[in-house]
Amino acid sequence: MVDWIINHSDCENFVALDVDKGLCRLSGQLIKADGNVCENFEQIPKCRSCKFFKDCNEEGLGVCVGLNKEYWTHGNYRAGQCEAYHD
Amino acid sequence: MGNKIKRDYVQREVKNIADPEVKKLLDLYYSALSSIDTEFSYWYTRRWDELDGNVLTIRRAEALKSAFSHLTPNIYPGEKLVMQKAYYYRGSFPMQWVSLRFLQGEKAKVAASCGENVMASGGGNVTKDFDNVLSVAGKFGMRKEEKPALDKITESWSGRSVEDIIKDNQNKLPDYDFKHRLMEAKISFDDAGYTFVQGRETMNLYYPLQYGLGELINLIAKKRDEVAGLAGGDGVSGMDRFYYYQSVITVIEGIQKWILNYGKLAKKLAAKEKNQEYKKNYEDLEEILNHIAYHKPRTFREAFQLFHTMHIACLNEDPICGVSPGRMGQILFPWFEQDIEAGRITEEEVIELFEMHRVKLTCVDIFASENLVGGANSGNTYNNLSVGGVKKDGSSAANRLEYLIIEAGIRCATPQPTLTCLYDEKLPEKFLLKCIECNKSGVGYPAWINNQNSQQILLKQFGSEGMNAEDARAAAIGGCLAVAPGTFHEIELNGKKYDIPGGAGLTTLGGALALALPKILEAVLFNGMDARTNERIFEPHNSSLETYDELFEQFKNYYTQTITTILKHSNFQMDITRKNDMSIINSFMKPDCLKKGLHNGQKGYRYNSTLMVIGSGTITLVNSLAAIKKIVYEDKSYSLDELREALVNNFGYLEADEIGSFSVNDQKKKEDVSKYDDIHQACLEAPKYGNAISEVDEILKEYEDWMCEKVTSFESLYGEKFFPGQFVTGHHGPHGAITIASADGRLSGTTYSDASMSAYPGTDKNGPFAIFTSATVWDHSNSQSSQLNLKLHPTAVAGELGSKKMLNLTRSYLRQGGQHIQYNVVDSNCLRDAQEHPDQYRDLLVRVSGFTQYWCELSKPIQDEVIARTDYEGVG
Repeated sequence: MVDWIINHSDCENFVALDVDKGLCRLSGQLIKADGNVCENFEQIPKCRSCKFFKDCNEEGLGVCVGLNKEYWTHGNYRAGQCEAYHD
Repeated sequence: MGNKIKRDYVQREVKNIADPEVKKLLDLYYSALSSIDTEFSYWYTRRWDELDGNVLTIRRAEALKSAFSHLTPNIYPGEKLVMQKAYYYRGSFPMQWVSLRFLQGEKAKVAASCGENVMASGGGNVTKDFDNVLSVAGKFGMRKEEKPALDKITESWSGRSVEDIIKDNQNKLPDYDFKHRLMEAKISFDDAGYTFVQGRETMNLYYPLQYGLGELINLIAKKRDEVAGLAGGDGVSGMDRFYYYQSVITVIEGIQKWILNYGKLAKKLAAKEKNQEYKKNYEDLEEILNHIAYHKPRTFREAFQLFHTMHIACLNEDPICGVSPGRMGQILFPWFEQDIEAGRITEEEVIELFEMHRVKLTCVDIFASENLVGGANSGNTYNNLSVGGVKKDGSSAANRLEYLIIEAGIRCATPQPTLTCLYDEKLPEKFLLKCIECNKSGVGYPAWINNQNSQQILLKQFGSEGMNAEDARAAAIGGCLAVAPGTFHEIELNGKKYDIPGGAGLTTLGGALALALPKILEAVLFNGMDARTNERIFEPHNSSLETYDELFEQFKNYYTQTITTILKHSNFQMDITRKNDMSIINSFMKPDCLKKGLHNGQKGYRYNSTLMVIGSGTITLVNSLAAIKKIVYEDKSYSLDELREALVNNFGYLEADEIGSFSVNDQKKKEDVSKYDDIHQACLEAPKYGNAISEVDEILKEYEDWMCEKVTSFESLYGEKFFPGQFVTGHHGPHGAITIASADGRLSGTTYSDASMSAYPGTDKNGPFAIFTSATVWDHSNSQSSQLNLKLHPTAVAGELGSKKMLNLTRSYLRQGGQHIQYNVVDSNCLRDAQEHPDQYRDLLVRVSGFTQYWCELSKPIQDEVIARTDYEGVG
């Protein structure tokens, strides 16, 4: 299993600019993607929080059983547009 | 001087000042790193695998639909034009189904086979790992936690990517070994055409703009039902029509979902936003997006958004550079005219939208292959927007919207979209001077293309496929400088009819790409050997090259051998690509794919004979031939052996890789070696191209006339003739790096002459009109887009008089038959200062060859080559 680290890149209020940083929609400031979250944090949907995500290995790779055919996925993938997502 | 910018150079007269809201977005771009994620790659691969065994066209469409449907939308504060390739602002993603070799093992850390000669560490390039960011392919950043997913996708395509299928099969071709030797010597790059299979062409927006996506689906469904199960008189491709129509419907549904996802995000952001101006913008975006997902655009802003959406959709279909918007100002003119008349929009608002469009397209990165990621294209995406030209009836096509597009290009100085003026005598003086004003701002655009020549090019190239004068008038530039075939369609808006131009042909690539001409001459001089590596490339000719004519004949022989072999392999590569990676999105929009029910790989386009043979280093070749002719064969000052010895010994200089720089400025003499000084001097003093010296210009003419005839004698994959092209981009850097010293006096490893008609830096001594005389000794309409770049000092074109002089200069060249001219209006001292203080010149743009690029994103050899070009201080 993986110890998932929650950071700015998991937040609804974070608009990613690049792999390193993004804008906080609340403060308007450029912040690091890896930065610690604040009290306004709102989790975005990710595969790791979906009930159809199974058998996660130490690299974060697991199995998605929510769609037509089972297929691998990564726990850290964004799942906001997935029709099967269910937390 | 410390960190202060030196100001002892002449500033440009026309300044670039972006709209404040645009400036914020531009500043975001400047701080953004080139970034990749695997969201698109994952969903494409997952759906592809789910449909294992299905018809390839259907499978590909479903994979594309899945990828578009699952892209996470991202809207940045203040954006009025939205939708982008991937999640990050400057985001892209790998397409392992096309090419994956460069993602595996150590190659994942290297920009390109020759990337170090082109790729710079400045700007947004991620050339090293840091914190939780990995550098991929020497240019892109990726989150470390995403690496297992990237590897998983990459491994899954191993053995079944287009690249792997080609490699598994092409070694059975009889001349594979020779082709391999050509690639090893880098006479041509080894991963060219099929890895960026679409591009150097213009889009066609007619169907989406005229019908809207919802109605389009209905129309295509009707066509599909009509052909279902019928051979259609063709026992081979007739049945394919059903699959193609169904596939088009599928991808449009994916694009609709993608648009609607953005609409939902806009709605969510509007609900949360406290700033009333931004809130209103989000609400407007929601309405626009929800409308264009199904319906024909009603307003200019809706039409603009739909145009941009379909453009990005095309760019996501393949690793693409140069699927260009074409004559965008003429395509969007109906909505502009009616909105302005109705007071729904102001010209300032239109300019702001075009400025935002510039930022949006500059954010587009391409993640393709070794060659494209870091090689000859410097990551440039060649989204060329053409202005001017003529209408269907031959009258001037310039319109008010195009003035605003040029104004946006002045205010918001960005590499994309680069602009091209299709110069025609019919265009009004005021319009041409507006283009000159843009040139004077130093942005490196618009390029000037000879519109009448371009029509001749199209008629010659596509005459056998039915190209007529009317379609030829729809010419536009695709990619850096390719003249792309087009046609006109009638748009109806609120009862008024307009003819809009659009693309009607497929990619220009495939063929033999960017052949290093001086390297072929090197092989001639050394009896078929690569003199740099001592490896054999060609079979020995064993000719003693007694006369200049023998030398030139042998060059022609090796050139012919080269293209004969490369073209066969290219046809083979492109054939596998068209079968496994056909275009559905770009193809359905262009005539006559929907009419025929066939995609790009099945000759669905109206014009299909667009594959090319492109040369690199033309003028270095010509100058070298001229020098050999003079000092060896005419004056007999030196023997060919003495010349060979001098070349191999780099005229007594250290090798570029010994001193760690391939820049022309950094080369150093070996201590105590003066043996080659005299012959080097003789080579440098030999007559050079660009000075109206007839004996040199005759060599150029002989080469061009022969080459154009030779290339068109070959048959392409589509059963049409190949056509020569001369729109090389950054090839003069990496090709120079693999070529030993040349007889023109150029040192080993240093850049060739840029473009195809530019003089070698510093050798054009007789002014620009002398270059024009030299360049136009041959018929430019026999080849695609031969290009000439000039560097003008700002004082040479100062004031109103300077603008008129610059226009006259341009006219002079084009009236003599020149196909393309482009300017850098800059004081070289500015460029030198920018080299010393790159951080203070983040926004400095220069014209390199077929493209404009940020100075800080170019490597030092290319920077030095641009600095070394002759500064013209007078153009009268």
